[in-house]
Amino acid sequence: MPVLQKPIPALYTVYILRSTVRHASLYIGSTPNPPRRLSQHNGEAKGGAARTSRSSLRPWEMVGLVSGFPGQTAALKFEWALANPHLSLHIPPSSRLTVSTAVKANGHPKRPPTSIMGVLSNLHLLLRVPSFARWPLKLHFFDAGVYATWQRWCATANEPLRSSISVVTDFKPEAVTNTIDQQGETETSEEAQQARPWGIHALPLDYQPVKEHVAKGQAVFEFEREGDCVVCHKPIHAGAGLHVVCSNDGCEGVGHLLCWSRHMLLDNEADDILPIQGHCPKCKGEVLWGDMMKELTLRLRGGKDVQKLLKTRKRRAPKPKTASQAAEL
Amino acid sequence: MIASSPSEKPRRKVKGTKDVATHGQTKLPKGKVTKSVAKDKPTKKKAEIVSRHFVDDETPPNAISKPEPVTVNDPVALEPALRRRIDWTPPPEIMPPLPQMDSSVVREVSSQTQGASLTTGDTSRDLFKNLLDTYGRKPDDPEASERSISELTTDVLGKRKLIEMVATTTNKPKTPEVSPAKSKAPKKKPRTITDLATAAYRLPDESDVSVSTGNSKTESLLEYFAVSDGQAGPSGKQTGAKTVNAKKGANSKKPSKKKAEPRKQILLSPTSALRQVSRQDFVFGTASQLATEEDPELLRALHKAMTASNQDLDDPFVSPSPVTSNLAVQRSAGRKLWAAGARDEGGDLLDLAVVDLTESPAFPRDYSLPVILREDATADAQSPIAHKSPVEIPSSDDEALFGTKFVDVDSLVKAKPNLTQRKDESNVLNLSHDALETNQAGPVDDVDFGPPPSNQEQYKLIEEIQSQSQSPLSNSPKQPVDGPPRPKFELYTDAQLAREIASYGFKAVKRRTAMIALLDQCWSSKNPTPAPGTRPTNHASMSTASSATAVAPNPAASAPAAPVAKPRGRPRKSSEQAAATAPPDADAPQVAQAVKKPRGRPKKDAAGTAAPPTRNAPRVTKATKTKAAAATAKSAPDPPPLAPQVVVAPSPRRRGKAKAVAPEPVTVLEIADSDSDSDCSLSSLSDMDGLFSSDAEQAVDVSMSTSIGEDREMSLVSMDPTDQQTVMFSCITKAVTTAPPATDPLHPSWHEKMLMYDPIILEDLAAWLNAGRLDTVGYDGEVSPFDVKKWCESKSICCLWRNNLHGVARKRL
Repeated sequence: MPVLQKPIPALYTVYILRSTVRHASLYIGSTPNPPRRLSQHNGEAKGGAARTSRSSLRPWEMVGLVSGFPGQTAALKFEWALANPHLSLHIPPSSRLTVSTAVKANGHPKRPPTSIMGVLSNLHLLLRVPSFARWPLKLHFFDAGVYATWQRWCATANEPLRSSISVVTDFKPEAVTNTIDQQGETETSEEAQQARPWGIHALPLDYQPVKEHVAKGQAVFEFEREGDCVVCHKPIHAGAGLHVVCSNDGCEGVGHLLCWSRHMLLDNEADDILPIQGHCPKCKGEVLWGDMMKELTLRLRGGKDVQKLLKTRKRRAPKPKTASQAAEL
Repeated sequence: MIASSPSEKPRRKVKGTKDVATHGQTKLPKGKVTKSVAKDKPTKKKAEIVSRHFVDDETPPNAISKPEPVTVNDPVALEPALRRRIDWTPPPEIMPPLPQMDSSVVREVSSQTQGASLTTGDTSRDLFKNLLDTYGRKPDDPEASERSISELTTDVLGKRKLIEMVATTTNKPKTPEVSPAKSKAPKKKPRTITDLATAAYRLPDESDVSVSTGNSKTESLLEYFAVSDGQAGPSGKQTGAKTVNAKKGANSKKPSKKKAEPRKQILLSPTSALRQVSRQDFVFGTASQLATEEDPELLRALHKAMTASNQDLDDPFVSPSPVTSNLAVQRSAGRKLWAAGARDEGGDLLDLAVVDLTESPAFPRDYSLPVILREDATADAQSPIAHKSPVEIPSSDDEALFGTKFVDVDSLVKAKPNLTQRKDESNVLNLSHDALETNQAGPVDDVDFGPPPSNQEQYKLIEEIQSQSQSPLSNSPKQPVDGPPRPKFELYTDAQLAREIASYGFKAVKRRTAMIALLDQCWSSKNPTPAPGTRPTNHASMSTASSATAVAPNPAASAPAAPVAKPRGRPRKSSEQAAATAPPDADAPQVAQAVKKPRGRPKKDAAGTAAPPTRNAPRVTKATKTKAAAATAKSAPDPPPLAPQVVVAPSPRRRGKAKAVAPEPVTVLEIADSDSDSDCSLSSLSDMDGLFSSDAEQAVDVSMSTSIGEDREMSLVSMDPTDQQTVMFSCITKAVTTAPPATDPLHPSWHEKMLMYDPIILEDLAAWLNAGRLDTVGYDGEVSPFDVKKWCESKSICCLWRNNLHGVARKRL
């Protein structure tokens, strides 16, 4: 393999951008760092998309995003499919919602006009199509109106979303605005964010959420505490093969990668390759396949990331500060 | 610059003298160089530079007439270097190819340097000045220029004497002299296969020469014929350029003086000169033929005879004789070379056996010809002349045209578009000139010509298809001979294509393939092959659109034209199906559809024939109604019966604009997914091909309905995979999951990669599966990367092609 594999990124998102000035203006993008990308769209940093460069539409906001993409390739695929629902081949023709009705000058079908409802319905659809259905995705909504629209669509959609896709909402906190109003001060919203980040600013951009898991994995394999495979009960030979550690706190259940996958797929259809979620055979706790793979790839391929992660833990004095630093990054 | 330089010159001089005074350079060079200030001195020097080398053995009258010792060069000791340079490049007299070139610039430069070197006088400047003097052209000397031109002509033709130019009227009396030339023919070195093979690569050389010689080429060639008449091919015997120059000085001077006047008329740009040269009608033949016959007319007749004889062959698979193809610009050199080298049992060239020369009326029967050439002396020989071939050998008018002034190629293309067909060989060049390059008279079936080198398989496919579809099209092999040949739109430049399309009244089409297909369709609808008796002449075929509408497209007759048009893309699958299945009456609307396929709305007069709307589209909308009305009124062609959801109605706005014109259906084509999907790009390509299919009777809708049909979108995740696919998928799953786990964590197995959400490279996985893995799970057969892709998509496995959309291997995943 000439291409060096990277670990699953800490965060990769496909976001829905909406103009705060004109709500009908939408943009679909993907980024591993939503705050940075938003500032680019708003012209505060270099590199914004031309489609979002019109000053009359600025500032933009991210009203929702999908996180959990296992890599850039996956995110770009999803982004393209979401931006071109009239063309994407991931959508079977029978369930295609958006149909092109016009043709561009070059003969290609024209993208039909988008609306937030259209985007959300296609998002709903794409989360169900076989190409993306089993990815460890997570849905975030940062705008109440958009979330309401989403719920409306979910009620009318002919097929429910996979239950294991978690939908998270993080609206602009009322408390923040209230406090600002109450104080009557000229407090900027930045300070309010500083007080309590929300929305995309609250998203973890680094591996902090999996830090405990990573540390456990490091410890287990460093001191060869792996023991036997929790699934097949055969001894695990350190350094030979791929081994997965349970992601639950305190559980050091280690197993072969294939054993784990087989175990977690038993509940579902045996035809599938990718597990989504299951229960640890040791601690019986629920585990997500994406989390465990993130730890595994980090352990296998992300030496630098792991070092960085564990180093920050060592000198970790105030925990919230590191989080805000991460947000700033 | 020219204007400003005279003012600069004296200034420089003054400065330079000051410098010399201050720096105190060596006086000796200064004194020497002062001589060269004289205006005409460089000319003399130039003449001497050539003559000095030969001053011992020969005395060229012109050059030595003004002997002046060049003392300037001696201390520098430049002579050896100069001699070497002369070996590499033509002598300085030949350098100025364009008599009209305003050489004031050169003069300025040289005079400037003269002034500079005069003052500074250091040796390097001196050297530069000498070089300039040597190379620079002095236009003030008419004699020199004339002489140089005359010498130039012989030199240009030096090795290429055998390539004859357009037949001229002046060399008629030469025909009796042919036989003495023939007698010495066997002595000449026969053209070998190597010669043939390298002929294609000699072209740039030729064109360079032609460019450098500019417009004087034709004239000088005519001249050359006259001269060589008397001299019995002096350039062929040329031992060294200098001797010939010296010898011919007096001889060639006379004719060149006569011709000098017209030569100065036009100064062509290099491109147009190149075009003009390539437009010239070379006579080609085997070396033996060329060597035998000095007379271009004879060769011409010979050539015609050969083309005609080849043309009369009914066998479509006969390999093209090397003679029929332009050797200079060969497209499929390899194949033709093989054919050229083909020998029969007797060891004779196969192709030559077919040719008969001796009966040609252009010259008396001569038995000194090689036996091979006389072999087949039948009445067949008369046929080329009697044969009314659609492609005309340039008439005397044309020759006059060529002789005096060259018309714009494009106008010629317009005037004689059917001359543009036999140009398979010439796509090496810029193709804009091919209109006149029709050495092969008469349309030979396309099968006879080699495919482009990259299309060998496709070519075979076409052959197969043709051979299979020949039974319904009984006159298929013969038809191209009679009908007006289809122009090779593939060989047009984009600009030409655009112009052609505009001439048909269509809006500009961006894609080149679409343009070609459209033109093909236009052509085929415009030139419906009529009944055998009433084949249209060339001019009829080029009639305007209004007259074309009068001619009802004969579907049955247009069918045989299908194999002729060989579009650039891969052969369409449906061509034979269409030939076999399409009912003849259904062809007519399709022909019409084909015409109206392009995106831009067709103009009113560009419409095909009237056709009833056969569309079974469910939506009976305003569009359909207006279309029906328009179809009856304006004889607008009908859209193909596409799948309903595929056809997208034009927006009302557009329809309103295109009131009188039938709105054309637009189809939603699948665009390749950005991340992957070369298969769907393929499909979309093929759709495009089908959409703009050049073969009129090859039904667009057939291909759609059969291959794609109702759900034309051809999704990767087709909802109901066939049983075979299900079996294959489960086998792939089994093969992947049963593979042993990897021991090296850095090189996981495919299954482990998938579990870790790694992007899977489809080609690699397919190769791995095909390399025995599928056998172990009991699947007999191979899987393509496209199958693997479908499987991956069905399993939510992130997959990729190895190459990105630019065709380059990905650097990162």
